[in-house]
Amino acid sequence: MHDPLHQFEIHSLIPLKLEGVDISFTNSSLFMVLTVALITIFLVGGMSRGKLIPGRWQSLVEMMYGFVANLLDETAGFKGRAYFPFIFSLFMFILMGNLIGMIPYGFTFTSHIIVTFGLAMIAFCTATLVGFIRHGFRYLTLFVPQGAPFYMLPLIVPIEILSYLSRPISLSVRLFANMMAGHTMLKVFAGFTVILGVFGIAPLAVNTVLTAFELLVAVLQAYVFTILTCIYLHDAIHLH
Amino acid sequence: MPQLDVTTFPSQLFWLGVCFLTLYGILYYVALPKVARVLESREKTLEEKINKASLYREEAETLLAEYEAALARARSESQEKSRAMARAVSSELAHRQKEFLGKISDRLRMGEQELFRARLETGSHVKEVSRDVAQVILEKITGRPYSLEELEK
Repeated sequence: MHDPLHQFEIHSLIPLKLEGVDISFTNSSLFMVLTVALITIFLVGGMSRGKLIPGRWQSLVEMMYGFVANLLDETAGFKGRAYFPFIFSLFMFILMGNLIGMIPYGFTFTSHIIVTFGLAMIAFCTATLVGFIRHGFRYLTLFVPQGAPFYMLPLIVPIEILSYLSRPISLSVRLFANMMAGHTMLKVFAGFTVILGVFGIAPLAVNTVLTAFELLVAVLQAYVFTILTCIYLHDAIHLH
Repeated sequence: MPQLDVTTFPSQLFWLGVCFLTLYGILYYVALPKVARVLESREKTLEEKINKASLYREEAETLLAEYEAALARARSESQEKSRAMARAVSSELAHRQKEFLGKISDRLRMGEQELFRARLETGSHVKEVSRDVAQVILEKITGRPYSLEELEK
């Protein structure tokens, strides 16, 4: 039986080294590049004709655009509009990365903790930078909740700081764990199907249901990641 | 667990950075402005059409108002005319009536004169007849004729 974790293995395709650090082009990198290429084709191809009355493809692109714009407007408010390209990139990258991983023999780069952590750090650093650029050192008042009694501050402020710093961790672990668990489970049931022969029909049925469920998770996790980033941006823009 | 292989981290992070930055660049400079342009032009077109539609509606409303005004004018004119006609007819009628009444009263007067004359005539006749009758009666009683002069006495 195949190791269910085999699918997460990374192997170098083009060995590269920069200042002694291994930055080889791996299968993970390949799928990231594919994701970027697919998103570009999807968006640019869909809007290439830019018709007044959109066709199916163009409608899909516009729906995506409208969906993310709406999400950002609702969570981060009007001032969040400036960060729309960033949020949209984040959403599309994670969504496409999750979906591309659903293709058999594909690779899911969002099932690697270091990738999701990198993405979470991008979101976290952007939000923090926005906060400091907009408010300067007043941004630190984010850690002092309004209306908290004075004597509680020594307790509350460290908790707030801790919760703020744990944001990228919770973001990355959530996405990573969801993607890895789902894909591992799919692989395990697929292994059962192979082993059981004729009776493999039962795990195959389960796998079919799980695949649909995984598609839902793929979209949902991209959505969750994006909406949380929007909320962090809201904090950075409005402080409270 | 391959995810915990630290030796792959630099490569993963490096390519993630490259890919995400590339994607951001493409979306920021190419893809999203395109979408925004299309959406804007659609909004503009819609606005234009709506404006045009409201313009047409206003035009239609003014036309309707003009039509109603013309209709009201025509109606009042026709009423005026019919009233004038009615007045003319009634005055004609009154004139004719007067004429007719005049004729009737002329005839009446003529008839009365005739009647009067006839009565006068009848009165003179009665006198002659009564004289003749008296003459005949006297002749029968007295046995002799009486002249008219005697009778007058």
